[in-house]
Amino acid sequence: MLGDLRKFAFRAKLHMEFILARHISLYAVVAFLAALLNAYIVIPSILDQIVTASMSGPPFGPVRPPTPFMGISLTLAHLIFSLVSVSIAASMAGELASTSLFHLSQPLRRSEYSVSWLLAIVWLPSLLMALSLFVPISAFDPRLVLRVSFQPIYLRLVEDILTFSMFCWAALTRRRGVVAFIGIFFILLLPYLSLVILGLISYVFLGGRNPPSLLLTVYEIIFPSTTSTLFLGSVGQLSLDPMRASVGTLIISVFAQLSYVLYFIRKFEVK
Amino acid sequence: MLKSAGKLLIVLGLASLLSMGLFEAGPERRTSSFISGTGGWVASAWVDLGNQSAYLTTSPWFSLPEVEGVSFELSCSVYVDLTIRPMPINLTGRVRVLNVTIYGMKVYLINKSAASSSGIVWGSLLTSALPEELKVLEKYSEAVIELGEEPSYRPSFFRFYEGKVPLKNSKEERMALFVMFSNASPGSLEPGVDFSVLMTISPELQQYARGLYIIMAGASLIVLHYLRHPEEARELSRRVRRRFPLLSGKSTTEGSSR
Repeated sequence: MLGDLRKFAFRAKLHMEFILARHISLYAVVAFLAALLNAYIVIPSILDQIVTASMSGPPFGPVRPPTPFMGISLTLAHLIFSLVSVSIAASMAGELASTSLFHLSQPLRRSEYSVSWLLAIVWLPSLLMALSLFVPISAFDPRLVLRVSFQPIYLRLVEDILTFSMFCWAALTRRRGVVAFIGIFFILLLPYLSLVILGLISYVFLGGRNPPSLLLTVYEIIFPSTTSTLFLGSVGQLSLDPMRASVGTLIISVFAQLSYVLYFIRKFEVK
Repeated sequence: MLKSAGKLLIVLGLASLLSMGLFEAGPERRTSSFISGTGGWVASAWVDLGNQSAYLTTSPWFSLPEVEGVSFELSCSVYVDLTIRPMPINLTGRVRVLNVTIYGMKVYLINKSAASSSGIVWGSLLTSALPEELKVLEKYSEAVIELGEEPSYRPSFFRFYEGKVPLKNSKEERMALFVMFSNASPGSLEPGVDFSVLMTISPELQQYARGLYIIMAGASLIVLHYLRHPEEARELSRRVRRRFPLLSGKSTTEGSSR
């Protein structure tokens, strides 16, 4: 059992190395840009927050929301890493349409093949997104790492893991165009379009009252980070605390990734 | 995998170094924390001293983080509006201005332990003994600055004063006390006093060293990869020799003459 697992890890690592060799420059450029951006925006923002939080007495009683600039920085990093994820997923779709049979004729199982792509599309961009924030901050002053508010970073990572998992499924269509469309739809349209639809439902069917809490809860579970950014300062209006919603997001992500791997192993037809 | 991880670490280290360079080369004051407002917001008062009057206001207590390569300054800007309020309807369009002489403005930067050892309380400042109390306060203050008038911007109904004082890097709580002496009758005007903490980021040598350390860690991962895969190292060596023949002592014309 342990031997099988070791063999699985070794082969998945070999294929992952093959993917990285082709795409390392893309990962590197994006990590560089994100790290530069994060350092330049987030470090002064943390310092500013520390000074502001230290002030006591009215009218300074309630401290400003935690590091508003970090939200901007994280959103920019999210956008560029999403493009990487879409681009790698498009590459997988291209491979599935052409040379995948050749790869799978090597001593490489379907499970190893699909897991290595999953790591390249979902987990590596997410890991790099976190590192691009923490490495420059720890190089500047390691004590600042403990002053970063972890909630926005955690929520952004959880939301992105779910979104990037969808790109794995999109890659199974074997069409780069479909992957690009699904990528743009999930990154730029769906988070905001759903809000418009929720607003329309509330005005047309409910006469301007709040949309049903079930719909809001579903929205929060799918987009915990977007929700906490958009509803900043009015968290009371939400039907669920973003941190609790993120548990649902994680469960859906695990389900999406497991089902992708199982579908690839058992049902997917390699041409 | 080690090679890719090494490359990514090098990239992250380079970005850290470049961001520090940007902080150094960028504008001197990266950001400011607005910490006080118009007179009367926190605690403000007029004291009648007979032939002159004093206006006092403070910033809230604040403390600064001890971070490498970051220095802080306290900036104080004061706007004194001399127009008579409520503004009368005047068909000629001329603004009626108070005839006020400002004798001086000072900011006292006081830390909490010095404030308690001086024994001065807010109430004792609001008496006619204010000048003597200020002399005592001056001894206990971390810094005292006299604000200078900005001469370039001086319409008849408006005065603008500004001053800055560097803040020592310590976590101790401190506050700024602003005092203005003038011949204005108490309450006849309301100066706007803005205190801001200005931040200057100029990374130090050890911070650059940390960035370099990350790059070195990345480079060692790449070296480790080549140590584990000697055939790749040989291939790399052949490629380098082909591209840079002078490195291996060959003439550049050797290849072309063949």
